[in-house]
Order: sequence, then C-alpha cells, then structure tokens
Amino acid sequence: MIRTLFRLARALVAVALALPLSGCLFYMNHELPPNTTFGGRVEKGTHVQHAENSKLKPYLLAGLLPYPFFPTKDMLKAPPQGKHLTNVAIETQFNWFDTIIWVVPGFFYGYYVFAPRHAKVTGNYVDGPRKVVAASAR
Amino acid sequence: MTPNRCSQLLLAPVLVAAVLSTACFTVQHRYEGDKILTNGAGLAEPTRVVRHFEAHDRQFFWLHGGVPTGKPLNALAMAAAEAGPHPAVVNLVVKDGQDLADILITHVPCLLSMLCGTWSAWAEGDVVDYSAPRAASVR
Repeated sequence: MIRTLFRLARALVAVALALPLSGCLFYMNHELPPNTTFGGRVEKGTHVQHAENSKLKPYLLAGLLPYPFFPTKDMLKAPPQGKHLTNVAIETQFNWFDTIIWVVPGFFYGYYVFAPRHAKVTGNYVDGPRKVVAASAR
Repeated sequence: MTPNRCSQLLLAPVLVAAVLSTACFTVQHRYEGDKILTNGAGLAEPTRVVRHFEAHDRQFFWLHGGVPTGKPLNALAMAAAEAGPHPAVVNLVVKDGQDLADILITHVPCLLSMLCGTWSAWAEGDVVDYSAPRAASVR
C-alpha cells in the first residue's frame, strides 16, 4: 500500500514538473533583427548579398529540457548601415545527425538522453535602409 | 533470451528504420508571394491594423520524422493566408516546436517519437492595410 502510494506520488510529481516544462520550453523562437522581411520576391542584381546560418539546438530528455545557451535568435546579423534584411526563409530539420545522436545513446542506455534539432536561416541583404512607419491601431 | 534482450531486439528494427528514413522531416517556413511579411512595426508607408491573429498548425509524422504526413508546416504561408485581401502582416512572430499536446502525443502513445509524433508551427502578427488608398498599378 505504502509502496503503491509512493509510486503514485512519484508519478504525480513527475507529471507536475513535466507540465510547466513542456508547456513553455520546447519551442524554437525564430527571432531576427528588427524590420526583417520574410519571403517575398528575390531582388536580382549585384547589390544583393546572400546570407545563411545553420546551428544545432540541443535538448535533453526528448525535448523537455533545452540547453539554454543556444537560442535561435539573430541567426542572421543585423544589416549594415544602408542595407536591409529581406527574403528570409527558415528551416527546422530532423537530419541524420540528429537522429543518430538520439538513437545511439537512447538504445544503449534505455532512455532519452539528447535530442538535437538543426535550425537554418537564409536571407538577403539588399541596398537601401528600411524606413518603417509604425502601424496605427484599429 | 531475457525479456530485456527481447525488447531490445524488437526495438532495433524500429530504430534502424528511423535512422534510415530520417532527414525527410524538415519544416520550411518559406513564402514567395506578394504579401509583405515583416517582424517590424509597420511598412514604409502609413498603415492601420486590421486585426491581430494567432495561427497554429500541427503535422503528424511516423518514425521520428522519417515519414511525415499531410500538409507541410509553413508559418510564413499561414501568416500570408491570414492576411487575406490585405497587403501585409507586421509584428510577425514565427516559431515551431512542440506544445503540451504534441509532447503528450509524441512521448506517450508514440513511444518517445520512435513510432510517431507531431510537430507544430505558430505564426502571430497584425494584418495591416494602407492608411491612404493607393493608385492601381499598371502592368
């Protein structure tokens, strides 16, 4: 009886801990410099400078606990003066590296150790500063 | 054969299948249309906010992402669809990952994503329209 209650209490504590963690942590917030434009038609010409960046984002315990030191923030740098960042596209990948890293430790040790994901961001720096007039409320 | 060894042998083909079939699940947030999608507060010309939106989509996959099903996730396409007849979305926030429902689905019935799982994408922003009427463009 006591053992059953202890097991039940342990399960409830685990669920209680998992709920707030899982509700807010396993997100890849794709934050970019201000006034970035996503997608759209690609401008052609020599004044277009292509940029891309790819990073691994590690998570512990099947995604319940992300490592805090790598946010998916500003994977492309703020545009230099006189340019603006546009045509941004974002990818989140489960690639072969991510799965092997997950499978090998998990298979041998019988639990979920490390679950990485890759994030890739591409865009173009185009001549011309971006003038922005804040939208007025409804 | 011990039960532990037996379960490992049963699990091995699932894991091998996941490894071999992976790299298929990629969430691509792309948009090539005419709408202006920006995380800025506005456009170069004065605009007014038509409405705020929060859009969410979920995709199911088999074998740790190896076999995705249904429509691919794309938060930028969602944002452009939310714009409707209006020209732009501002204050755009794009994210993807797993919320509580995704994690419960992926880790309980889908056995820690080995068999299956779900992944979600979110787009949040303000649909705007130009404050002043614009002249129609001539092709």
